[in-house]
Order: sequence, then structure tokens, then C-alpha cells
Amino acid sequence: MSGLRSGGQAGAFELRELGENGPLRPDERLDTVGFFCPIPIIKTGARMRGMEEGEILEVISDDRVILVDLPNWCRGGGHEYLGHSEAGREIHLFVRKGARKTAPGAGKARDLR
Amino acid sequence: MNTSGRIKALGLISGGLDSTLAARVLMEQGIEVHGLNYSTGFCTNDQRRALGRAGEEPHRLRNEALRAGADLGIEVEIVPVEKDYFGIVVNPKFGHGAHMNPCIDCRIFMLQKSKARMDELGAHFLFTGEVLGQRPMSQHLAALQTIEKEAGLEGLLLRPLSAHHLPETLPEKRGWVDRARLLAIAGRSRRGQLALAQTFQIGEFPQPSGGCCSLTDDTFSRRLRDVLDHQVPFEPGTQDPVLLKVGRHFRVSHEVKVVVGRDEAENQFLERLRRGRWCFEVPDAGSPLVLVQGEPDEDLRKLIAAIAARYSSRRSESSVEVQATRDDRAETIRVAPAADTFLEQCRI
Repeated sequence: MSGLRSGGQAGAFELRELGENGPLRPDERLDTVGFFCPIPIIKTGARMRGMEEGEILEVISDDRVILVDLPNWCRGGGHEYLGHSEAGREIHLFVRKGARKTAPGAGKARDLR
Repeated sequence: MNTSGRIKALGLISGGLDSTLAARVLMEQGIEVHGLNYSTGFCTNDQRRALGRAGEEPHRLRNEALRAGADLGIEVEIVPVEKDYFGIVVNPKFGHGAHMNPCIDCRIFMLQKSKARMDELGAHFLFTGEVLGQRPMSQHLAALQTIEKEAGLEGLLLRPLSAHHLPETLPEKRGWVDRARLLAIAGRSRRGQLALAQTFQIGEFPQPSGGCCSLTDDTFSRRLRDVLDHQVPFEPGTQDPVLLKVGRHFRVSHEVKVVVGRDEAENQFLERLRRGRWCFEVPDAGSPLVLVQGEPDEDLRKLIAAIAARYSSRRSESSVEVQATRDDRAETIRVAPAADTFLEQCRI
């Protein structure tokens, strides 16, 4: 991914810092400053449901645990975690929406039961 | 309907070993697994995050359900249920466990919510990592059956780890799941699970402790009970549950309670809540921040000042000056530090 560099492995997840000369242009921005995980993750999930595959969401948070939780959430949900940058206490994290794994409200399975 | 043609299962994923294994056992059969995790407001990890103690390693506070979802490669959806959940904490149909933990109602609550989500997602059935006989209150046979029935899930709830000890479910009868490849784990020993973890090469999972829910904690439960008994305003999903984890708590009258910070992180947390409330501190000394809930009269303010003095670095002096403030109102109170015998009487 241009404009990104990989940081070191920190346990089970890869923390990626955004490069200096590759600003990402997010399609949408979500400010979760003041909320603690899992609330920023819940809000991210809700916002991403309304976005299209391939679009980028910027999540702003001041809870450092999001540096672990958001990459994990992306890995499980099939989204691409693009990395983060920091500005004072604020962390800016970038996620590219992946192909939908689960179609919300995709109909009933009652006919199978 | 489910257009992929694959059988889809929806499971309660805590991130602990049992739910991880249950998901993995089903995935081995080619079943599509989707995870749910409920945010109740009583998760000790979430509360530690909100306290924001400096130097806490983010890894240790991570959400284990999300970590398990990442390792399994399945989506885990976190569902906020704090307000609804509080109803069963206050008034559980099947009662509390040793503390304020409504374990049976908790399972029923989560499964009822999951059933609705199962229908929305077009999933075929639900599963949990429950193990027969592992927990005394909620995992004996009668409890498992009660939970299933009360949640309206008879026949649709699979417990893959203990399946061979339980009646055949619809997913097994219909051939969606191969019963022969499910397991017969039971009891409190975790030997079976650990062996299975090795088979699946699952290396990372939190140690089972049962300590991840504040409602099983003695002190937290006592303080929550006090809140309910004294009709203290309490809003689930806010800082209110976190406050019950922070500091020393003393009830000084039916209407008034004080919280004494024990260290810098707790003082800072209390500081964030001081707007509109009385706060007490000993100036020019090592002092806790003492936050007051309720409206103390002059006599009570003296008493609270004595508590602040007792936990300050001037505790051995006979007379200590304490600053009491509420928003822009301030007064100075000179008192003798409170006696420990008195404090023990009103400690919550």
C-alpha cells in the first residue's frame, strides 16, 4: 500500500503507522474521542454498514486499546486495516471496507428449519 | 434466505477457550460461523479501560472476543445492551449467584437477543461454548435446559463441546451438523479443552478465571446493592459502573455517599466527575480527592472532611484543614482525622 510503512509486530497484531508522505483520503470520518473500547468499535461497525466495499473510514479515538482492538476487528470481519497516525492524544486509524461477510437482514432461514 | 448454500451458525463468543473451540469445531465441518459478543457494562476489562490508568499495556486490555474473531477469521459483532441488561441484574427471574451475578438470566437474555439476530442474518442455529457441569449455577443439565427453553430456542441451541451428553438438536437431526464429530466434554477439568486447543493449534486464549464479570466480585456487588438500596442515580453504560470499582466507598447517611481516591489514576477519574458535586481535599498535603454523591449538610461536610484528613498525609495530626468545594462554592473546614473504627462502620 503506497504511503504506508509497516511497523514492528506487537504480539498477534501488526501495528502500522502511516507514512509521512502518503495521506489517505477517507470517504468518511468517525470521531469517537472520549469513548472507551468497545464503544468506538461498535460505532465503527455501525458506520461501516452504510459504506461501500473499498471505501475508507477514518476513526478518531483517544483510547489506546483501539490500536489492538480495531486491527483485530478488521481481521475477523474481512476489512483491511490501513494503519494509524497520532496527533497528541488523538489516534487516527484507517480502515478499508472489505467484501461483506455477512449480509445483515439477508432474509430468513426458516424454510430450512 | 441464506444464499451461499452453506449452513450458517451464530455463536456467543467471549474469546475464552470454550467458545473459541466451539466455533472451531463447527468451522471444521465447513459451517459458516458468525460471532456475537454483548457489551453489558460489567466487563472488568472495559471498566479498567475507562479508568485509564497510566502505563496500562493496551494488549492486556484488549477485547478478547475481537482477538478470538481475528484468530478464527470470523466476524464478531459487539452488541451494546447495557440498559436492557441492567433490568435482569436488578430483578433476575432465576435469582442471583453468590453475588449480584444473574448467571442463568444472563444466558437467557443473551440467547434471546441472539435468536432475533439469527433470524435477521438468516443463520440456521445458535451455538455456545457451554460445558455441562463446568459452572455450578448455570451449566448443570437442568439449567442448560431451562436456559434453552426460556430463550425460545428448544432444539436450535447446539453446545458442540458437550453435545454427546445432551439430547440431539435440530441441526444434528437435519444433518446440518455431523453429531459424530461433536464432543463429549463435561465437568470442571479443562483437560479435554486443552488437548483440543493443542489439536487445533490455538495458542492464545485468556486464562479461565470467571473474574471477567464485575457482578461476580464481592466488593463491586456490595456497592451495587448499596446503590440500589439507596436509590442512587445509576446509569448503565456510563461512568457509573466504573465508579463502583474506583476508590474507597463510605455511606455517611441514607442520602450521602463518599468515594475516596486511592491513587493518582483514581483521583483523576474522580476529578472528571466533580462537576455539580462536593469534593474534599487537604491542601498542601498528599491528599486523596474525595467525591460526594448526594447533598451533605454542614454536619456531614465536617464528617467528610474528617475522612479526607484521615486518608491524607496529615492523618497523624490532631487538627487538619480541609478544603471543600462545589463548582464555585468553597469552604475550609478544620477537623480531627476520622477514627478507623468509625470508618469501618460506614465502609461499603
